Amino acid sequence: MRDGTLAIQNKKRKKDHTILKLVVLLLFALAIVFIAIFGQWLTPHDPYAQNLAQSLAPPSSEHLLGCDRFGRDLLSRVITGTQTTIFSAFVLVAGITILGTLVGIIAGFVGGWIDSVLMRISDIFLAFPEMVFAISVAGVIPGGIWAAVIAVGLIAWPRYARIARSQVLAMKNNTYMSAAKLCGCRWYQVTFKHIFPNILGPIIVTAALDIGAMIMNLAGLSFLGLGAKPPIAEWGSMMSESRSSLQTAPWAILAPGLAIFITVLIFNLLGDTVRDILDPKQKRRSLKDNLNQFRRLFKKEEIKVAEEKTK
Amino acid sequence: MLIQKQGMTVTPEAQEAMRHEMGLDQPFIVQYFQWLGKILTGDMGYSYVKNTEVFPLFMKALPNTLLLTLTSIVTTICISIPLGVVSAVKQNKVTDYIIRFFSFIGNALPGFFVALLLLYIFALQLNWLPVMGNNGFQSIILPTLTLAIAMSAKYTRQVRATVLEELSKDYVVGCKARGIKGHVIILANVLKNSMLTIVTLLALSIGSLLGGTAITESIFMWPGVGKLAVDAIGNRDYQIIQVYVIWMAIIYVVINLITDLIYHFLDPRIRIKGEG
Repeated sequence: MRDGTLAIQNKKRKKDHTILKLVVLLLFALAIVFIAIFGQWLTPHDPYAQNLAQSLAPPSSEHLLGCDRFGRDLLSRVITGTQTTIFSAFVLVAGITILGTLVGIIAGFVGGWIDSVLMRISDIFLAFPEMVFAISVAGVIPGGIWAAVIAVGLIAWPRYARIARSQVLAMKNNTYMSAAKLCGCRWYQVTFKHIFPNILGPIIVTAALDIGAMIMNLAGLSFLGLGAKPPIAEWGSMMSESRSSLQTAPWAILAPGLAIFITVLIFNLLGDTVRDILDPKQKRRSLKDNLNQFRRLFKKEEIKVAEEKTK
Repeated sequence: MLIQKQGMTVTPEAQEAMRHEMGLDQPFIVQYFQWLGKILTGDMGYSYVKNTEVFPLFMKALPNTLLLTLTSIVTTICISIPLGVVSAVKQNKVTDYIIRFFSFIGNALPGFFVALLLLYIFALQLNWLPVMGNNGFQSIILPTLTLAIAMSAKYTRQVRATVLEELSKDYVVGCKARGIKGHVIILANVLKNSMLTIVTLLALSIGSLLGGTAITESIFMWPGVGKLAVDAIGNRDYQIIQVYVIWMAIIYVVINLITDLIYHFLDPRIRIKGEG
């Protein structure tokens, strides 16, 4: 009895801990989004104003992070770059989540040949290594950062489609689905009221974990010159621009590099925390749960045996 | 386009003749099937920018990329498996926290940032290693490290999770009860049983590695297919890009197939199920 209450208390404390972590990380993430939205008013200097007298100036009290090759203030450029990076990454993750989930729901819900066609299409994309495909597509279609977004999005959506489809398939045979249909729900009511909320968890977890990775992918493409084109302030292309002055002005690389690092770190931690809260698979099972599951399995087997006997 | 490059003025007639010669005046779908037929018969096309057949160009670069992939995977295995096992065994102790902290940092560092940092520290400041190019053993160290750091960060976490799951199984308790020493259990039983998951993860990562090499190769001027493709994109040399994508996909699929076959050797359970 005493042990039991202790365990419950521990569990509760751990959950509080996770919630606290989530709140803190959310605040950090919101701060980054805030910088992204209001960046224009936060920059100490014009991010595009060139001043060759200040070329490659080291960090000083006037230019806190130093200047790049054209004498542009790096702090201002990093702040402006937040906007490009955060918005493109958010649009990308939102886009692939919506597209993938829709395709997955349709494939799982309708089934038949539509399912086969949609899943074979997603199989085609899954046969390519992610970055190889993204590099090639971003290289062929023109259009700056949005070309990179489309390229990464094209290769990334099938994962969401697969998750959504498997969830829908698992959901489809539940009794409450039949009950909903029996009550006269239309297909769209079934889809959006009953299926959608139930498959949302795993998809949100995947999306949250993907933000950091997508920021890195987009920055990588920009670094190769396939995303945002100079002079647009974007972290990846800023690093690429400053590559040649690595020896003389390492701060020109360090500033955007650290910006990417911190942003990705925060979003990765946030994704992990969201997963800890939402994903039931990650929760550690107690002995009692295991026992219960075993009992349930056993019951099913018994029922099966009984059914076979009656046949 | 080609003629323009040579600095001549282009007459419309010459342009039309060139278009006809290259088959560009035919409908899109006809062009596509012509290209498909050529690919299937082994004709990988002709690079008009470099003025050579694409295939030999590609084949010359491929071994370099495969070598780099191989060395980084070996390095990754050497780093992440010991760290992951130690981290799992010392779960929630200081060692575990330190290893997890570093793997988290490694996970958030983009490959090109790591590459530039390594370049700055080891090549420019300490002058230990060459900056770029391919001249022997020394120049492969930095690109390998770049790729291995990013991958190890990911794999240390996954190895840790796999080993932890394995450690919670009943047979570990059984072994302990029979008085077998801790490290023997880990090396002989737990690691062996975790191998299946680890091999799967490594095989899946080869795909991301093949793409990741493109960025690393172009920073270190490593003459592999990734650099070839990035250069080709800069020159709008589509033939090379097509060959790059197709071959990378083929390699990726073949590696996945090999992984499935390896399962049979690693896990008797799958083998027996398949036969029975």
